Amino acid sequence: MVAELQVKNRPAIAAVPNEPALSVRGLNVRFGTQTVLSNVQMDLEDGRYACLLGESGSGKSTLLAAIAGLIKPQAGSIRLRGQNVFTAGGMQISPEKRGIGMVFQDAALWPHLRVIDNVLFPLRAQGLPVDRERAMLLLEKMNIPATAVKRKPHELSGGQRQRVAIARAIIARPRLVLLDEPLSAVDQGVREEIRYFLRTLFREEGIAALHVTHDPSEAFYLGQHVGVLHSGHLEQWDQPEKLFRFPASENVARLSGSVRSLPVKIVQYQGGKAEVALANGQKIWVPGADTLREGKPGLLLLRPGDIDCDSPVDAFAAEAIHSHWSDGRYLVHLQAFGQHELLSYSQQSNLGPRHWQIYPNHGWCIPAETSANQEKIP
Amino acid sequence: MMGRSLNRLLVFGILGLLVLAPLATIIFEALQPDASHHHGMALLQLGVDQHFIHALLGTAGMAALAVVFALPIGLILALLMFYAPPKFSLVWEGLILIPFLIPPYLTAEAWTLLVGPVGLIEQLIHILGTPLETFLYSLAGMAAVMALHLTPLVYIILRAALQNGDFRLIQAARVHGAGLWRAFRVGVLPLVLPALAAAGLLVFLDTSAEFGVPALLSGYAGVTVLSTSIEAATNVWPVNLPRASAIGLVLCTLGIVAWFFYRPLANENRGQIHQLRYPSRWWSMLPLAAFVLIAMLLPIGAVLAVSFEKAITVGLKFSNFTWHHYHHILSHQSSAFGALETSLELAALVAFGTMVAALLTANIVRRGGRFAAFLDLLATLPMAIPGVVLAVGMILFWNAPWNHLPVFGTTAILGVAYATTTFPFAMRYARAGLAQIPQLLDNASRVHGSGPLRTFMKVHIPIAWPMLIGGATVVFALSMRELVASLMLQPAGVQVISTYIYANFRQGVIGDGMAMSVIGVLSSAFILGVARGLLLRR
Repeated sequence: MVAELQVKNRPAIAAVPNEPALSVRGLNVRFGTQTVLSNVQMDLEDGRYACLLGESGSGKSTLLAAIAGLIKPQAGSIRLRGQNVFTAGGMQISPEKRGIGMVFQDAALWPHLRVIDNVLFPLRAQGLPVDRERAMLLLEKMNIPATAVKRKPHELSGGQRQRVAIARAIIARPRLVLLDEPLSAVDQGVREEIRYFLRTLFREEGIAALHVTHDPSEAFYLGQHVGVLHSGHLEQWDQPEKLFRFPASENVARLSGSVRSLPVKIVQYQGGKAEVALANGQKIWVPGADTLREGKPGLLLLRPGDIDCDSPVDAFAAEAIHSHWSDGRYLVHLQAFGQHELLSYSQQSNLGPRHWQIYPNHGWCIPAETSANQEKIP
Repeated sequence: MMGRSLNRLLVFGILGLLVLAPLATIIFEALQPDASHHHGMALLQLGVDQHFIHALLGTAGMAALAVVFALPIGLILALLMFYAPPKFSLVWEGLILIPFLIPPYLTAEAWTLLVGPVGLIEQLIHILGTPLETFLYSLAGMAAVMALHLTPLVYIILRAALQNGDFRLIQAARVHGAGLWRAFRVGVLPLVLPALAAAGLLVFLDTSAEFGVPALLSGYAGVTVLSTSIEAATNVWPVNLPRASAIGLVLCTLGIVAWFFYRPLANENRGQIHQLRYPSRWWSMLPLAAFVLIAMLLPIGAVLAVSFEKAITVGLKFSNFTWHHYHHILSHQSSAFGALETSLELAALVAFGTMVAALLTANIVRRGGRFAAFLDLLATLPMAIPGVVLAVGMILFWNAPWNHLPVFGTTAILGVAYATTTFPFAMRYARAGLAQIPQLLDNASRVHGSGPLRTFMKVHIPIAWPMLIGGATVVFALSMRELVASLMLQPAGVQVISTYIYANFRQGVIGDGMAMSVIGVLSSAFILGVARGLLLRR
């Protein structure tokens, strides 16, 4: 069975049941000689909220622009609800015919239209019935006062403008909404409020969302699925807990939260665990990726929560070189095995000699030269 | 894709007809034999033509002197208004800009009235009258009139340069030990110099292209200039179109060279809007008031006074007061009323049509690419082509034996001429309007279901609307006062405001001409005020 959107002014995009809301295969984007996206693959199930982490220039916004049809990739394919909207063979459906919603970094509300007209714009543009009640309801849910709906965007606060932009993106009940760092231009307090709105609203509406951000806490708060894009490569696309605990690369680990790494040598690998030799020659067992090979170098990724530096007395020696108050405890910077820095939470702020150990079943070891750890873009 | 191609074709067609065709015919005609020599190309004949050499020197001298006069005055005004603004600086700024709105031929006429044997200055300060009259009817006098007209332009450019400057540069210089002058040299002068050069080139360009002022003053001054020579070659028997084209080509080359130097200098806006306000100073009012008096109050006063006088020889006396000139202009049967009507209708039509065409052009230019750059060049080229040259080109193109389009010899030719001369201004506003629209708003519209046409109509036009109205206003005002193309192209039995004033002045019927000036300015101001009020009420 094929459900069709009621659209007057464009050929309807058929929605195929059981197909992902978004499916990207082998996507390549180049600007001149510079490769911006390379072989990106991802699936996003209908109704799921996914977040994509990445630094500035990693290709996050380019990926969204390609999905939206604002730029034309050089290779790969993009399917929305099972329908091709871009194929390398030359098929490129224009943005207005893809039936998606989008929230931009600085809201991008049309300054000459009132709030209510901004929200109703997608319905009018797509020839859908102009449902004012739904618009008002959405604005009410987004905590926009009824008195503000007839105002122009410049009369609203930054947070209000961004909430109106969210209402505009979902008014036409698209199957997919793209959010391009929607919270980066708003203050901390407002950011938390909008995060809450996003989470509840998208779950209620059952709309799939792909939200790009550089803030791991935002990604983990909102995302049912989280990915990390680095230098144009999607290095991991996974459930939040897996991405955090078992990162595929050092970049994924770094971009998803505080982490430090120790170079190790793999002694043996058994049942998801690896025996590794540390710089001082001591051997320990830690969880590790199944790509580890005996005798090869590895990287032991350690987050602050993996290390205990308060109780041990007969563990590894280190020097606390800096500590600061962070989230109800101290975050201590330790110098271990000479030049290697580690991070650990602690109840004490004192600097100087400390002892540390890794909590059982904590830490994550990956091969030192994973393909993801190497720079792949010329 | 099809719509985009159609848009490109339409825009290219419009600009081809307005700009390329007259230019091409001028070049072709300039390479024909000179009508009076029957051998050799007209362009080559100019090399041995003493009259042409004098005219070229006259034009260069007048333009250079205008630069010498306008730049220091404009710089002083800009520095005063920026660093030592008087109280009510907005009012002062308005007053400084008004002289630019007065057509230069009117300023010239007003000053001939002021310093003439029965003029106000001669009557009030007898000792100044004769020297001023001698000065006015000289190369320097013509340049001074142009400088009065163009100083506001210099002021605008320099003021913008000062405004775009980063005041922190001066603060940094002062903090690190620089005195006032050194801080100015480090923090301000580098910004002002390109702007000064740009302003100088623009003054040179505008003055060398000017027809009205030399047409009124050069005869008495014993000076010839290129613009009047061109007009004479098309208007005075024996008509010599190849010669007119050849001189036009030289004048045009002069303009285009100046324009190419000007263009890169004009894009100096760094977007650093200066927020620091300097404290107001009462003494800065004195030089500003002197400029406003000479460039605006005296000429306008003279025009107004003469428009209410029965006889200008009697002077300012109550018994000499009359409404007669106004009554004559506004009586329905008079040729003056016809001229007023024609001007208003033409200006309104041209304002609408030119803005639409400019918007279509700007929309292509905005996308970038080689074709867009070519269109941009074509659209701004009339800025560098003097009106008198364009008029010759239009005579040649629209009156060619093979051209059967019913344009030449009808009022439509004036519309075409106004559209061409005002196109760069319309284009500037249309581009500025579209430039206000961030790409993000386009993307938002496309992603949420709007096609390119709907995005253009529902997003681009409404956002750019105030700029489009601003552009239409400028086109309207420029069309209302255009003189040289109107003189050369107006069909028999048709007059417009500018040609009516000019003809009356030349024939000594000065009161009617001055009354027409006042009515022309007031009626266009009224219509523009109402139109702007209605169109911008949103």
